[in-house]
Amino acid sequence: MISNDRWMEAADWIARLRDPAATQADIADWLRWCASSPQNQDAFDQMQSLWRLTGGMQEKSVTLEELLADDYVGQVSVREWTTSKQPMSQPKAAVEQDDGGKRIAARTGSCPRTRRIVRRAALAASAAAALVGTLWFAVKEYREHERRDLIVETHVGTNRDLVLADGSAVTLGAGSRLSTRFVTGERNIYLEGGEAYFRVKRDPHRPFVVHAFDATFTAVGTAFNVRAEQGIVRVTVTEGVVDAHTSTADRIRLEAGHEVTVTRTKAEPRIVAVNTAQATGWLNGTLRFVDEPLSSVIATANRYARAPITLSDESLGEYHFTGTISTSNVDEWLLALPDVFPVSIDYENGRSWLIQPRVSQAESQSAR
Amino acid sequence: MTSSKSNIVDQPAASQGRDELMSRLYHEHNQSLIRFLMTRVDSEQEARDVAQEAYVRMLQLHTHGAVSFLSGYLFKVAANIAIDRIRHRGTQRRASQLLINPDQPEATGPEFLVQAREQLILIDRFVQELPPKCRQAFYLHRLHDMSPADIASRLGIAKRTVHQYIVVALAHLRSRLEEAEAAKEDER
Repeated sequence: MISNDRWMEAADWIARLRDPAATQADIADWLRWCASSPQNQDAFDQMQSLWRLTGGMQEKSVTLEELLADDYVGQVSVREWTTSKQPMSQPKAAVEQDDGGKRIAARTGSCPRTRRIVRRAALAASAAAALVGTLWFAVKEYREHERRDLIVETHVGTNRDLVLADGSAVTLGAGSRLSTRFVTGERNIYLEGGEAYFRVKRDPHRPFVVHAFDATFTAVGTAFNVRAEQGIVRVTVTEGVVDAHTSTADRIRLEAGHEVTVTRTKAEPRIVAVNTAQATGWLNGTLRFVDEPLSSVIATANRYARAPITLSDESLGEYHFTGTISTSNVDEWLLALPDVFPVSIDYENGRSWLIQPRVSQAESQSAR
Repeated sequence: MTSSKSNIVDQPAASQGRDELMSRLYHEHNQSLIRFLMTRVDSEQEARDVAQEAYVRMLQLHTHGAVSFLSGYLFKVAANIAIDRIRHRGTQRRASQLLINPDQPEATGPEFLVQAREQLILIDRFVQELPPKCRQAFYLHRLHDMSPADIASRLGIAKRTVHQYIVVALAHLRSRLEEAEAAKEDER
Protein backbone atom coordinates (compact mmCIF):
# COMPACT_ATOMS: atom_id res chain seq x y z
CA MET A 1 0.00 0.00 0.00
CA ILE A 2 1.41 3.34 -0.98
CA SER A 3 0.79 6.00 1.64
CA ASN A 4 -0.78 9.36 0.92
CA ASP A 5 2.47 11.09 1.79
CA ARG A 6 4.35 9.01 -0.73
CA TRP A 7 1.82 9.84 -3.45
CA MET A 8 2.29 13.52 -2.63
CA GLU A 9 6.05 13.15 -2.85
CA ALA A 10 5.79 11.38 -6.20
CA ALA A 11 3.50 14.13 -7.52
CA ASP A 12 5.91 16.71 -6.18
CA TRP A 13 8.75 15.07 -8.11
CA ILE A 14 6.78 15.02 -11.35
CA ALA A 15 6.14 18.74 -10.99
CA ARG A 16 9.74 19.49 -10.07
CA LEU A 17 11.24 17.51 -12.93
CA ARG A 18 8.92 19.08 -15.46
CA ASP A 19 9.87 22.59 -14.45
CA PRO A 20 12.26 24.03 -17.07
CA ALA A 21 14.09 25.64 -14.15
CA ALA A 22 14.98 22.21 -12.72
CA THR A 23 18.67 22.07 -11.90
CA GLN A 24 21.08 19.20 -11.94
CA ALA A 25 20.88 19.22 -8.14
CA ASP A 26 17.12 18.62 -8.40
CA ILE A 27 17.69 15.64 -10.67
CA ALA A 28 20.34 14.24 -8.35
CA ASP A 29 17.93 14.62 -5.39
CA TRP A 30 15.23 12.84 -7.35
CA LEU A 31 17.53 9.94 -8.21
CA ARG A 32 18.44 9.61 -4.53
CA TRP A 33 14.76 9.59 -3.55
CA CYS A 34 14.00 6.85 -6.13
CA ALA A 35 16.90 4.76 -4.93
CA SER A 36 15.97 5.07 -1.26
CA SER A 37 12.90 2.82 -1.53
CA PRO A 38 11.30 0.57 -4.18
CA GLN A 39 7.95 2.01 -3.10
CA ASN A 40 9.17 5.45 -4.11
CA GLN A 41 10.05 4.15 -7.54
CA ASP A 42 6.68 2.45 -7.80
CA ALA A 43 4.74 5.53 -6.72
CA PHE A 44 6.65 7.64 -9.21
CA ASP A 45 5.98 5.25 -12.09
CA GLN A 46 2.27 5.17 -11.30
CA MET A 47 2.07 8.94 -11.04
CA GLN A 48 3.94 9.10 -14.32
CA SER A 49 1.29 6.87 -15.98
CA LEU A 50 -1.43 9.11 -14.64
CA TRP A 51 0.41 12.13 -15.93
CA ARG A 52 0.61 10.65 -19.39
CA LEU A 53 -3.08 9.79 -19.37
CA THR A 54 -3.99 13.38 -18.57
CA GLY A 55 -2.58 14.37 -21.96
CA GLY A 56 -5.92 13.31 -23.41
CA MET A 57 -7.90 15.75 -21.27
CA GLN A 58 -10.57 17.88 -22.86
CA GLU A 59 -9.93 21.44 -21.83
CA LYS A 60 -12.95 23.34 -20.55
CA SER A 61 -12.10 27.00 -20.23
CA VAL A 62 -12.17 28.66 -16.85
CA THR A 63 -14.04 31.96 -16.73
CA LEU A 64 -12.55 35.19 -15.43
CA GLU A 65 -15.29 35.40 -12.78
CA GLU A 66 -14.33 31.98 -11.49
CA LEU A 67 -10.67 32.97 -11.35
CA LEU A 68 -11.38 36.21 -9.52
CA ALA A 69 -13.58 34.50 -6.93
CA ASP A 70 -11.02 31.79 -6.25
CA ASP A 71 -9.02 32.01 -3.03
CA TYR A 72 -7.50 28.53 -3.00
CA VAL A 73 -3.72 28.37 -2.73
CA GLY A 74 -3.17 24.66 -2.31
CA GLN A 75 -2.80 24.59 1.47
CA VAL A 76 -5.45 21.92 1.92
CA SER A 77 -6.51 18.98 -0.21
CA VAL A 78 -9.10 19.59 -2.93
CA ARG A 79 -11.53 17.41 -1.00
CA GLU A 80 -11.32 19.60 2.07
CA TRP A 81 -11.65 22.75 0.00
CA THR A 82 -14.74 21.32 -1.73
CA THR A 83 -16.29 20.43 1.63
CA SER A 84 -15.67 23.91 2.99
CA LYS A 85 -17.45 25.42 -0.02
CA GLN A 86 -20.69 23.49 0.47
CA PRO A 87 -23.64 25.72 1.34
CA MET A 88 -24.47 24.85 4.91
CA SER A 89 -28.03 24.63 6.20
CA GLN A 90 -26.92 24.44 9.83
CA PRO A 91 -23.84 26.01 11.26
CA LYS A 92 -21.25 23.37 12.09
CA ALA A 93 -19.33 23.17 15.33
CA ALA A 94 -15.74 24.23 15.21
CA VAL A 95 -13.87 21.54 13.34
CA GLU A 96 -10.18 20.97 12.96
CA GLN A 97 -8.82 18.17 10.88
CA ASP A 98 -5.30 16.98 10.88
CA ASP A 99 -4.36 15.22 7.68
CA GLY A 100 -0.64 14.95 7.19
CA GLY A 101 -0.18 18.45 8.49
CA LYS A 102 -3.10 20.05 6.62
CA ARG A 103 -5.90 21.66 8.53
CA ILE A 104 -9.12 23.40 7.67
CA ALA A 105 -9.97 26.53 9.57
CA ALA A 106 -12.19 26.16 12.60
CA ARG A 107 -15.74 27.19 11.86
CA THR A 108 -17.86 29.05 14.34
CA GLY A 109 -21.65 29.20 14.59
CA SER A 110 -21.90 32.42 12.49
CA CYS A 111 -24.34 32.38 9.60
CA PRO A 112 -22.51 31.24 6.47
CA ARG A 113 -24.87 33.14 4.18
CA THR A 114 -23.98 36.50 5.70
CA ARG A 115 -20.33 35.65 5.35
CA ARG A 116 -20.77 34.90 1.66
CA ILE A 117 -22.62 38.16 0.97
CA VAL A 118 -19.95 40.22 2.69
CA ARG A 119 -17.36 38.32 0.76
CA ARG A 120 -19.04 39.01 -2.57
CA ALA A 121 -19.12 42.75 -1.88
CA ALA A 122 -15.47 42.79 -1.01
CA LEU A 123 -14.74 40.84 -4.15
CA ALA A 124 -16.56 43.32 -6.36
CA ALA A 125 -14.45 46.14 -4.97
CA SER A 126 -11.23 44.25 -5.46
CA ALA A 127 -12.26 42.82 -8.82
CA ALA A 128 -10.75 45.73 -10.71
CA ALA A 129 -7.48 45.41 -8.84
CA ALA A 130 -7.56 41.64 -9.22
CA LEU A 131 -8.15 42.03 -12.94
CA VAL A 132 -4.99 44.07 -13.27
CA GLY A 133 -3.27 41.48 -11.14
CA THR A 134 -4.23 38.68 -13.45
CA LEU A 135 -2.65 40.46 -16.39
CA TRP A 136 1.10 40.41 -16.73
CA PHE A 137 2.27 43.73 -15.42
CA ALA A 138 2.57 45.49 -12.08
CA VAL A 139 1.77 49.19 -11.71
CA LYS A 140 4.18 51.20 -9.56
CA GLU A 141 4.50 54.92 -8.83
CA TYR A 142 7.80 56.73 -8.77
CA ARG A 143 8.63 60.33 -8.02
CA GLU A 144 6.74 62.73 -10.27
CA HIS A 145 9.37 63.22 -12.95
CA GLU A 146 10.04 59.49 -13.14
CA ARG A 147 6.36 58.62 -13.14
CA ARG A 148 5.42 55.61 -15.19
CA ASP A 149 2.10 54.19 -16.32
CA LEU A 150 3.43 50.73 -16.80
CA ILE A 151 6.52 48.69 -15.95
CA VAL A 152 7.17 45.26 -17.36
CA GLU A 153 10.04 42.98 -16.57
CA THR A 154 10.57 39.59 -18.13
CA HIS A 155 12.21 36.50 -16.69
CA VAL A 156 15.37 35.04 -18.12
CA GLY A 157 14.51 32.64 -20.91
CA THR A 158 11.03 33.86 -21.89
CA ASN A 159 9.88 36.47 -24.36
CA ARG A 160 6.61 38.24 -23.57
CA ASP A 161 3.94 39.72 -25.81
CA LEU A 162 2.04 42.78 -24.65
CA VAL A 163 -0.30 45.44 -25.95
CA LEU A 164 0.21 49.01 -24.80
CA ALA A 165 -2.53 51.47 -23.86
CA ASP A 166 -2.59 52.91 -27.39
CA GLY A 167 -2.93 49.53 -29.07
CA SER A 168 0.71 49.21 -30.11
CA ALA A 169 2.08 45.67 -29.85
CA VAL A 170 5.38 44.90 -28.19
CA THR A 171 7.31 41.67 -27.90
CA LEU A 172 9.72 42.03 -25.01
CA GLY A 173 12.76 39.78 -24.99
CA ALA A 174 13.85 37.66 -22.07
CA GLY A 175 15.57 39.35 -19.14
CA SER A 176 14.40 42.77 -20.31
CA ARG A 177 12.68 45.73 -18.73
CA LEU A 178 10.40 48.28 -20.30
CA SER A 179 8.24 51.09 -18.97
CA THR A 180 5.88 53.61 -20.51
CA ARG A 181 4.55 57.09 -19.90
CA PHE A 182 1.85 58.26 -22.25
CA VAL A 183 0.97 61.96 -22.12
CA THR A 184 -1.15 64.20 -24.35
CA GLY A 185 1.34 64.90 -27.10
CA GLU A 186 3.67 61.95 -26.78
CA ARG A 187 3.88 58.25 -26.18
CA ASN A 188 7.10 57.59 -24.26
CA ILE A 189 8.58 54.12 -23.95
CA TYR A 190 11.73 53.42 -21.94
CA LEU A 191 13.69 50.31 -22.82
CA GLU A 192 15.75 50.03 -19.67
CA GLY A 193 17.67 46.97 -20.83
CA GLY A 194 17.35 44.01 -23.18
CA GLU A 195 15.48 43.88 -26.44
CA ALA A 196 12.01 44.67 -27.76
CA TYR A 197 10.20 44.56 -31.07
CA PHE A 198 7.57 47.27 -31.57
CA ARG A 199 4.61 47.36 -33.93
CA VAL A 200 3.44 50.92 -33.51
CA LYS A 201 -0.20 51.89 -33.84
CA ARG A 202 -0.40 54.90 -36.11
CA ASP A 203 -1.20 58.17 -34.33
CA PRO A 204 0.10 61.33 -36.06
CA HIS A 205 -0.87 63.46 -33.03
CA ARG A 206 1.26 61.43 -30.67
CA PRO A 207 4.70 60.33 -31.80
CA PHE A 208 5.90 57.04 -30.37
CA VAL A 209 9.27 57.70 -28.73
CA VAL A 210 11.51 54.90 -27.50
CA HIS A 211 14.22 55.96 -25.05
CA ALA A 212 17.28 53.74 -24.68
CA PHE A 213 20.36 54.96 -22.81
CA ASP A 214 20.99 58.48 -24.15
CA ALA A 215 19.23 58.11 -27.47
CA THR A 216 15.63 58.41 -28.59
CA PHE A 217 13.90 56.82 -31.54
CA THR A 218 10.69 58.34 -32.83
CA ALA A 219 8.13 56.62 -34.98
CA VAL A 220 4.70 57.56 -36.24
CA GLY A 221 3.42 54.23 -37.51
CA THR A 222 6.12 51.66 -38.07
CA ALA A 223 7.65 48.39 -36.91
CA PHE A 224 11.14 48.30 -35.48
CA ASN A 225 13.48 46.41 -33.19
CA VAL A 226 15.49 47.97 -30.37
CA ARG A 227 18.30 46.26 -28.52
CA ALA A 228 19.93 47.97 -25.54
CA GLU A 229 22.83 46.15 -23.97
CA GLN A 230 25.97 47.35 -22.21
CA GLY A 231 25.52 50.96 -23.21
CA ILE A 232 25.08 50.13 -26.88
CA VAL A 233 21.75 50.58 -28.64
CA ARG A 234 20.94 48.97 -31.94
CA VAL A 235 17.74 49.78 -33.79
CA THR A 236 16.56 47.90 -36.87
CA VAL A 237 13.59 49.18 -38.83
CA THR A 238 11.44 46.56 -40.51
CA GLU A 239 8.60 48.81 -41.69
CA GLY A 240 8.22 52.54 -42.17
CA VAL A 241 10.60 55.20 -40.87
CA VAL A 242 12.23 55.91 -37.53
CA ASP A 243 14.03 59.15 -36.57
CA ALA A 244 16.98 58.71 -34.23
CA HIS A 245 18.32 61.46 -31.96
CA THR A 246 21.60 60.88 -30.17
CA SER A 247 24.03 62.99 -28.20
CA THR A 248 26.34 63.26 -31.19
CA ALA A 249 23.91 63.54 -34.10
CA ASP A 250 20.92 65.80 -34.56
CA ARG A 251 18.61 63.61 -36.48
CA ILE A 252 19.19 60.38 -38.32
CA ARG A 253 16.41 59.13 -40.54
CA LEU A 254 16.25 55.38 -40.61
CA GLU A 255 14.29 53.54 -43.27
CA ALA A 256 13.03 49.99 -43.44
CA GLY A 257 15.80 47.47 -44.03
CA HIS A 258 18.35 49.57 -42.15
CA GLU A 259 19.95 49.51 -38.78
CA VAL A 260 21.77 52.05 -36.63
CA THR A 261 24.14 51.31 -33.77
CA VAL A 262 24.68 53.99 -31.13
CA THR A 263 27.55 53.64 -28.70
CA ARG A 264 28.51 55.73 -25.73
CA THR A 265 31.56 57.13 -27.50
CA LYS A 266 31.62 60.37 -29.43
CA ALA A 267 31.67 58.48 -32.70
CA GLU A 268 29.01 59.04 -35.33
CA PRO A 269 26.38 56.34 -35.20
CA ARG A 270 26.80 53.72 -37.90
CA ILE A 271 23.99 52.96 -40.32
CA VAL A 272 23.96 49.76 -42.32
CA ALA A 273 21.56 47.94 -44.58
CA VAL A 274 20.64 44.60 -43.06
CA ASN A 275 18.60 41.46 -43.43
CA THR A 276 15.82 42.41 -41.03
CA ALA A 277 14.63 38.81 -40.64
CA GLN A 278 17.97 38.00 -39.03
CA ALA A 279 17.80 40.95 -36.67
CA THR A 280 14.39 39.83 -35.43
CA GLY A 281 15.32 36.16 -35.30
CA TRP A 282 15.14 36.30 -31.50
CA LEU A 283 11.34 36.45 -31.81
CA ASN A 284 11.56 32.86 -33.00
CA GLY A 285 14.38 31.68 -30.79
CA THR A 286 17.45 32.47 -32.89
CA LEU A 287 20.00 35.04 -31.75
CA ARG A 288 22.12 36.26 -34.61
CA PHE A 289 25.42 38.10 -34.28
CA VAL A 290 27.65 39.67 -36.90
CA ASP A 291 31.14 40.61 -35.81
CA GLU A 292 29.95 41.38 -32.30
CA PRO A 293 32.18 41.65 -29.23
CA LEU A 294 31.93 38.53 -27.09
CA SER A 295 31.05 40.63 -24.03
CA SER A 296 27.91 41.83 -25.79
CA VAL A 297 27.12 38.34 -27.09
CA ILE A 298 27.36 36.93 -23.57
CA ALA A 299 25.19 39.74 -22.19
CA THR A 300 22.46 38.78 -24.66
CA ALA A 301 22.95 35.03 -24.24
CA ASN A 302 22.58 35.48 -20.49
CA ARG A 303 19.04 36.63 -20.96
CA TYR A 304 18.20 33.18 -22.29
CA ALA A 305 20.70 30.95 -20.49
CA ARG A 306 19.54 28.56 -17.81
CA ALA A 307 22.65 29.26 -15.75
CA PRO A 308 24.52 32.59 -15.81
CA ILE A 309 27.72 32.88 -17.88
CA THR A 310 30.68 35.03 -16.92
CA LEU A 311 34.01 35.88 -18.50
CA SER A 312 36.92 35.38 -16.13
CA ASP A 313 38.84 38.07 -17.95
CA GLU A 314 37.55 41.32 -19.50
CA SER A 315 39.95 40.98 -22.41
CA LEU A 316 38.10 37.83 -23.52
CA GLY A 317 35.14 40.08 -24.24
CA GLU A 318 37.01 41.65 -27.08
CA TYR A 319 36.93 38.60 -29.31
CA HIS A 320 34.47 39.20 -32.14
CA PHE A 321 31.83 36.60 -32.82
CA THR A 322 29.74 35.94 -35.91
CA GLY A 323 27.12 33.22 -35.76
CA THR A 324 23.86 32.16 -34.22
CA ILE A 325 22.72 30.91 -30.84
CA SER A 326 19.49 29.05 -30.32
CA THR A 327 17.73 30.51 -27.27
CA SER A 328 16.78 27.06 -26.05
CA ASN A 329 20.32 25.72 -26.37
CA VAL A 330 22.62 28.39 -25.04
CA ASP A 331 24.59 25.83 -23.02
CA GLU A 332 25.45 23.82 -26.10
CA TRP A 333 26.68 26.87 -27.95
CA LEU A 334 28.81 27.68 -24.94
CA LEU A 335 30.36 24.23 -24.78
CA ALA A 336 31.30 24.47 -28.45
CA LEU A 337 32.95 27.87 -27.98
CA PRO A 338 36.44 26.37 -27.43
CA ASP A 339 36.29 25.31 -31.09
CA VAL A 340 36.17 28.95 -32.10
CA PHE A 341 38.25 30.85 -29.53
CA PRO A 342 41.14 29.86 -27.29
CA VAL A 343 38.96 29.48 -24.21
CA SER A 344 37.86 26.74 -21.87
CA ILE A 345 34.49 26.42 -20.22
CA ASP A 346 33.98 25.51 -16.58
CA TYR A 347 30.77 24.72 -14.82
CA GLU A 348 31.05 26.08 -11.31
CA ASN A 349 29.33 24.27 -8.44
CA GLY A 350 26.36 23.45 -10.62
CA ARG A 351 25.28 27.06 -10.71
CA SER A 352 27.12 29.06 -13.33
CA TRP A 353 29.42 28.92 -16.32
CA LEU A 354 32.84 30.48 -16.46
CA ILE A 355 34.74 31.23 -19.66
CA GLN A 356 38.47 31.27 -19.12
CA PRO A 357 41.49 31.64 -21.34
CA ARG A 358 42.58 28.19 -22.41
CA VAL A 359 45.87 26.88 -21.20
CA SER A 360 47.41 24.36 -23.60
CA GLN A 361 48.37 20.88 -22.41
CA ALA A 362 52.01 21.53 -23.17
CA GLU A 363 52.00 24.75 -21.16
CA SER A 364 50.30 23.23 -18.15
CA GLN A 365 52.71 20.30 -18.18
CA SER A 366 55.79 22.48 -18.35
CA ALA A 367 54.39 24.51 -15.46
CA ARG A 368 54.60 21.46 -13.16
CA MET B 1 48.09 34.76 -21.65
CA THR B 2 48.74 32.30 -24.45
CA SER B 3 52.19 31.92 -26.00
CA SER B 4 52.98 31.62 -29.68
CA LYS B 5 52.84 27.82 -29.41
CA SER B 6 49.70 26.28 -30.91
CA ASN B 7 47.20 25.05 -28.37
CA ILE B 8 46.89 21.30 -28.19
CA VAL B 9 43.20 20.60 -27.94
CA ASP B 10 42.49 17.13 -29.19
CA GLN B 11 44.71 14.09 -28.92
CA PRO B 12 43.91 10.62 -30.26
CA ALA B 13 43.99 9.24 -26.71
CA ALA B 14 41.45 11.86 -25.63
CA SER B 15 38.82 10.71 -28.11
CA GLN B 16 39.17 7.08 -27.01
CA GLY B 17 38.77 8.18 -23.40
CA ARG B 18 35.65 10.04 -24.43
CA ASP B 19 34.03 6.93 -25.89
CA GLU B 20 34.68 5.07 -22.66
CA LEU B 21 33.18 7.95 -20.76
CA MET B 22 30.06 7.89 -22.93
CA SER B 23 29.70 4.17 -22.44
CA ARG B 24 29.85 4.56 -18.68
CA LEU B 25 27.39 7.39 -18.89
CA TYR B 26 24.96 5.20 -20.76
CA HIS B 27 25.21 2.23 -18.45
CA GLU B 28 24.90 4.22 -15.28
CA HIS B 29 22.29 6.76 -16.26
CA ASN B 30 20.22 5.69 -19.22
CA GLN B 31 17.34 4.25 -17.21
CA SER B 32 17.02 7.35 -15.08
CA LEU B 33 17.31 9.50 -18.17
CA ILE B 34 14.39 7.71 -19.82
CA ARG B 35 12.34 8.07 -16.64
CA PHE B 36 13.11 11.74 -16.47
CA LEU B 37 12.25 12.29 -20.13
CA MET B 38 8.94 10.54 -19.70
CA THR B 39 7.80 13.39 -17.47
CA ARG B 40 8.30 15.68 -20.44
CA VAL B 41 7.32 13.67 -23.54
CA ASP B 42 4.31 11.55 -24.28
CA SER B 43 5.67 8.07 -24.89
CA GLU B 44 8.53 5.82 -23.94
CA GLN B 45 9.47 5.56 -27.60
CA GLU B 46 9.81 9.32 -27.85
CA ALA B 47 11.82 9.34 -24.63
CA ARG B 48 14.21 6.81 -26.17
CA ASP B 49 14.48 8.86 -29.35
CA VAL B 50 15.31 12.00 -27.40
CA ALA B 51 17.84 10.14 -25.25
CA GLN B 52 19.54 8.78 -28.34
CA GLU B 53 19.80 12.24 -29.84
CA ALA B 54 21.23 13.52 -26.57
CA TYR B 55 24.03 10.93 -26.63
CA VAL B 56 24.82 11.84 -30.22
CA ARG B 57 25.10 15.50 -29.29
CA MET B 58 27.31 14.72 -26.32
CA LEU B 59 29.66 12.82 -28.60
CA GLN B 60 29.95 15.83 -30.88
CA LEU B 61 31.06 18.19 -28.16
CA HIS B 62 34.67 18.67 -27.24
CA THR B 63 34.05 18.20 -23.57
CA HIS B 64 36.10 16.55 -20.93
CA GLY B 65 35.38 15.94 -17.31
CA ALA B 66 34.10 13.49 -14.78
CA VAL B 67 31.07 11.32 -15.44
CA SER B 68 29.37 13.04 -12.52
CA PHE B 69 29.58 16.37 -14.34
CA LEU B 70 28.67 14.95 -17.72
CA SER B 71 25.63 13.07 -16.44
CA GLY B 72 24.13 16.31 -15.19
CA TYR B 73 24.84 17.89 -18.54
CA LEU B 74 23.34 14.90 -20.37
CA PHE B 75 20.00 15.51 -18.65
CA LYS B 76 20.15 19.16 -19.67
CA VAL B 77 20.88 18.41 -23.30
CA ALA B 78 18.08 15.84 -23.35
CA ALA B 79 15.63 18.26 -21.73
CA ASN B 80 16.45 20.90 -24.36
CA ILE B 81 15.91 18.44 -27.19
CA ALA B 82 12.52 17.51 -25.70
CA ILE B 83 11.53 21.17 -25.49
CA ASP B 84 12.48 21.76 -29.12
CA ARG B 85 10.48 18.76 -30.29
CA ILE B 86 7.38 19.86 -28.44
CA ARG B 87 7.77 23.39 -29.70
CA HIS B 88 8.03 22.27 -33.31
CA ARG B 89 5.18 19.89 -33.05
CA GLY B 90 2.89 22.51 -31.58
CA THR B 91 0.65 21.85 -28.64
CA GLN B 92 -2.05 19.88 -30.38
CA ARG B 93 -2.64 16.61 -28.71
CA ARG B 94 -4.61 13.89 -30.37
CA ALA B 95 -6.45 12.01 -27.67
CA SER B 96 -6.78 8.92 -29.82
CA GLN B 97 -3.02 8.60 -30.07
CA LEU B 98 -2.71 8.61 -26.33
CA LEU B 99 -5.33 5.93 -25.90
CA ILE B 100 -3.31 3.56 -28.01
CA ASN B 101 -0.24 3.05 -25.87
CA PRO B 102 2.64 1.72 -27.99
CA ASP B 103 4.60 0.85 -24.86
CA GLN B 104 2.18 -1.83 -23.82
CA PRO B 105 1.90 -4.15 -26.82
CA GLU B 106 -0.51 -6.42 -24.99
CA ALA B 107 -2.85 -3.50 -24.37
CA THR B 108 -4.27 -2.96 -27.82
CA GLY B 109 -7.50 -4.89 -27.53
CA PRO B 110 -10.89 -3.19 -27.41
CA GLU B 111 -11.07 -3.68 -23.61
CA PHE B 112 -7.94 -1.61 -23.17
CA LEU B 113 -9.26 1.19 -25.35
CA VAL B 114 -12.52 1.16 -23.46
CA GLN B 115 -10.73 1.26 -20.15
CA ALA B 116 -8.50 4.16 -21.19
CA ARG B 117 -11.47 6.05 -22.61
CA GLU B 118 -13.40 5.48 -19.40
CA GLN B 119 -10.49 6.74 -17.37
CA LEU B 120 -10.25 9.89 -19.48
CA ILE B 121 -13.95 10.56 -18.95
CA LEU B 122 -13.39 10.22 -15.24
CA ILE B 123 -10.30 12.41 -15.37
CA ASP B 124 -12.22 15.15 -17.16
CA ARG B 125 -14.90 14.98 -14.50
CA PHE B 126 -12.41 15.02 -11.62
CA VAL B 127 -10.47 17.91 -13.14
CA GLN B 128 -13.71 19.96 -13.03
CA GLU B 129 -13.64 19.45 -9.26
CA LEU B 130 -10.39 21.38 -8.98
CA PRO B 131 -10.52 24.99 -7.77
CA PRO B 132 -10.53 27.38 -10.77
CA LYS B 133 -6.95 28.71 -10.66
CA CYS B 134 -5.60 25.25 -9.87
CA ARG B 135 -7.50 23.82 -12.83
CA GLN B 136 -6.35 26.58 -15.14
CA ALA B 137 -2.73 26.11 -14.06
CA PHE B 138 -3.02 22.37 -14.64
CA TYR B 139 -4.43 22.86 -18.16
CA LEU B 140 -1.77 25.44 -19.00
CA HIS B 141 1.03 23.22 -17.80
CA ARG B 142 -0.25 19.90 -19.12
CA LEU B 143 -1.93 20.84 -22.41
CA HIS B 144 -0.06 24.00 -23.37
CA ASP B 145 3.38 23.14 -21.98
CA MET B 146 3.59 26.47 -20.22
CA SER B 147 6.34 26.77 -17.62
CA PRO B 148 5.37 27.35 -13.96
CA ALA B 149 7.11 30.74 -14.11
CA ASP B 150 4.95 31.82 -17.07
CA ILE B 151 1.79 30.45 -15.51
CA ALA B 152 2.61 32.41 -12.34
CA SER B 153 2.92 35.62 -14.37
CA ARG B 154 -0.24 34.91 -16.27
CA LEU B 155 -2.39 34.19 -13.23
CA GLY B 156 -0.76 36.80 -11.02
CA ILE B 157 0.34 34.32 -8.37
CA ALA B 158 3.59 33.01 -6.91
CA LYS B 159 5.51 30.29 -8.71
CA ARG B 160 5.45 28.05 -5.64
CA THR B 161 1.63 28.25 -5.72
CA VAL B 162 1.65 27.03 -9.31
CA HIS B 163 3.85 24.14 -8.26
CA GLN B 164 1.51 23.37 -5.39
CA TYR B 165 -1.49 23.45 -7.75
CA ILE B 166 0.09 20.82 -10.02
CA VAL B 167 0.94 18.56 -7.08
CA VAL B 168 -2.51 18.90 -5.54
CA ALA B 169 -4.21 18.30 -8.89
CA LEU B 170 -2.30 15.08 -9.48
CA ALA B 171 -2.93 13.91 -5.93
CA HIS B 172 -6.64 14.61 -6.31
CA LEU B 173 -6.93 12.78 -9.63
CA ARG B 174 -5.10 9.77 -8.27
CA SER B 175 -7.21 9.63 -5.15
CA ARG B 176 -10.49 9.95 -7.06
CA LEU B 177 -9.48 7.36 -9.66
CA GLU B 178 -8.59 4.94 -6.88
CA GLU B 179 -12.00 5.49 -5.32
CA ALA B 180 -13.72 4.93 -8.64
CA GLU B 181 -11.73 1.75 -9.17
CA ALA B 182 -12.67 0.50 -5.69
CA ALA B 183 -16.34 1.30 -6.34
CA LYS B 184 -16.23 -0.73 -9.55
CA GLU B 185 -14.70 -3.64 -7.68
CA ASP B 186 -17.53 -3.50 -5.15
CA GLU B 187 -20.08 -3.68 -7.94
CA ARG B 188 -18.62 -6.87 -9.33
